[in-house]
Amino acid sequence: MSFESTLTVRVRRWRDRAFLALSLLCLALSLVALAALVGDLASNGLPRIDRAFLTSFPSRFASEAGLLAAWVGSLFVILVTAALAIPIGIAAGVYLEEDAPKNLWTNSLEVAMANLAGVPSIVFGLMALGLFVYRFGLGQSVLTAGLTLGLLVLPIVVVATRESLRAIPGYIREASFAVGGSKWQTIRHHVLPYSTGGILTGVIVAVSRALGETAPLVTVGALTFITFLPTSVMDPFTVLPIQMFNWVSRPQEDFHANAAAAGVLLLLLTLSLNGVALCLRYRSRKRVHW
Amino acid sequence: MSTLPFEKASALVKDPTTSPAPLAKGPAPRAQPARPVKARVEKLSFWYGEGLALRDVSLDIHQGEILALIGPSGCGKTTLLRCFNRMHDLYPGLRYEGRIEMAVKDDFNVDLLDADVDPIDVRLRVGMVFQKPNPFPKSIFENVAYGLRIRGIRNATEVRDRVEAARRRAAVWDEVANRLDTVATRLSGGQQQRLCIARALAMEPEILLFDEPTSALDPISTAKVEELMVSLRGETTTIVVTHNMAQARRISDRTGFLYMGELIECDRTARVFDSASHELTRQYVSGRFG
Repeated sequence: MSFESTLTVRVRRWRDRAFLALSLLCLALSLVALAALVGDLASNGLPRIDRAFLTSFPSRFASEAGLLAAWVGSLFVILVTAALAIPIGIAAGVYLEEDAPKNLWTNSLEVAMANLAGVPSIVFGLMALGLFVYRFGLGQSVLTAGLTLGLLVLPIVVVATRESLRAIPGYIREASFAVGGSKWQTIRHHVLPYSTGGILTGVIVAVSRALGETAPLVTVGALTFITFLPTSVMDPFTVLPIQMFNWVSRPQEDFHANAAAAGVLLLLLTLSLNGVALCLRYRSRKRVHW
Repeated sequence: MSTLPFEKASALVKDPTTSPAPLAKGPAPRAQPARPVKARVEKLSFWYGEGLALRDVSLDIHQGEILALIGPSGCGKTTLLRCFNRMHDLYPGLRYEGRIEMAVKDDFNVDLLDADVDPIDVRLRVGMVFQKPNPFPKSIFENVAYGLRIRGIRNATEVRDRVEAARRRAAVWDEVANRLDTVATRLSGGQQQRLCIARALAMEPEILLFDEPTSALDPISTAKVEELMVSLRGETTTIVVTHNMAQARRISDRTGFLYMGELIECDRTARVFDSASHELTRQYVSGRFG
């Protein structure tokens, strides 16, 4: 025996199901698109990846060309980017959220920061070409690339830091101040440790973005054919996406497989970075219990 | 401990009429009339931006007593309480006028609101327990030890001893004796609140402020917290804001009644409740409004 549902109840039940089905369909669509993309890339590129591919310099023969300069360059550039964007971004976020007065000046800073995040990356490239390469005479170097990408992703780190700090309840700050903590002690001992998870997420998003960024580096003048490894930040360089772009634009079919392989590697690098971030975030969240 | 700015400012204030006698030891009988003055509020007014929250409040707090502040919501009792540890300094746009003189040593007083007095120096001497238990998401031990650590007490034995003493006094000993590493936020609400009291007690405050400390607790926890507050009588000067008139009556030596930002009267608790001199007070304590 059960209730005999009225019409409106039946209609609502039907709507619930329709909505659920629609959501699942959308999810499936995006997953299929992603799988197709990755699958295609992998089927073209995976067979090409072997030890020699990872340890050889580029060559005009597709079968002998390798990625060594590109992945080493990518890591090197990312290191410089991270060294710039992470400390400055977190410090700026902490200042804006914890210390800065709320006035016209900081409000415009906030707007500027949001706009900066929306500036096309090629514009950053032009700025870097004029400023870093020519004005500062840094040349087409790893340092120039790192600085450019660092500036590009700085807003991401700042915004993520501010969001995570804002999530820390005010009563925690009051508790710290009430026992006689200074502003710095409150930030250092409480606010920052409790928001590490969110900040890390932002950092990883920023680094992943920088890793795949191509346009500004083309503008700055990354090389596509180098047969040496950069040994200092002032050396010329290439990175994975640039190498990929170069190979894909060649007429020979074989180079296209190389490009796919570089794509797989880039994807792997990004995914493993995300994995590390996930791990770190999980661990930092486990240490803090609300 | 940096007492320098504190003592420098204090030298300016000297009022022979408020010179306190040495600290009273042990619980004194409740009806004992004349305790020395520990703090004196003089013509204190307070503004939230344009809004006047306190008007010309003057009030004496005696050494080792429990002073209850009662009054309807929005009457300014919490605002008054938070003046004592300069909590208002954390937020922009708030303004004090008037003084709160605290007897620091036998021979001089300090105006807690003096611009030259560092709020940190105030909070190192005036502890606070909040309405909502706000332990740090750290271990029980670290919560109580935090106030000591930021005072620069590094000696592990001393920290342990003082943490233990504070926890015994705050009656969070038996239940958690073997769980010092447990994260504090895992405790029940009542235990958390007693932990917060222990955290404040570990700093051996001269004045301890309670902002509706039991309004979020069940009756059994409330009884424990009240018992704890009563056990501090004679040693720690206590000011408690409460909505619960029965509580004020149970635990306080004297009671101040605030209404619309003004102190209507402040007298021995029994008098305020049984034979108040103001009609408004009589109406409030008999429950005719509020």
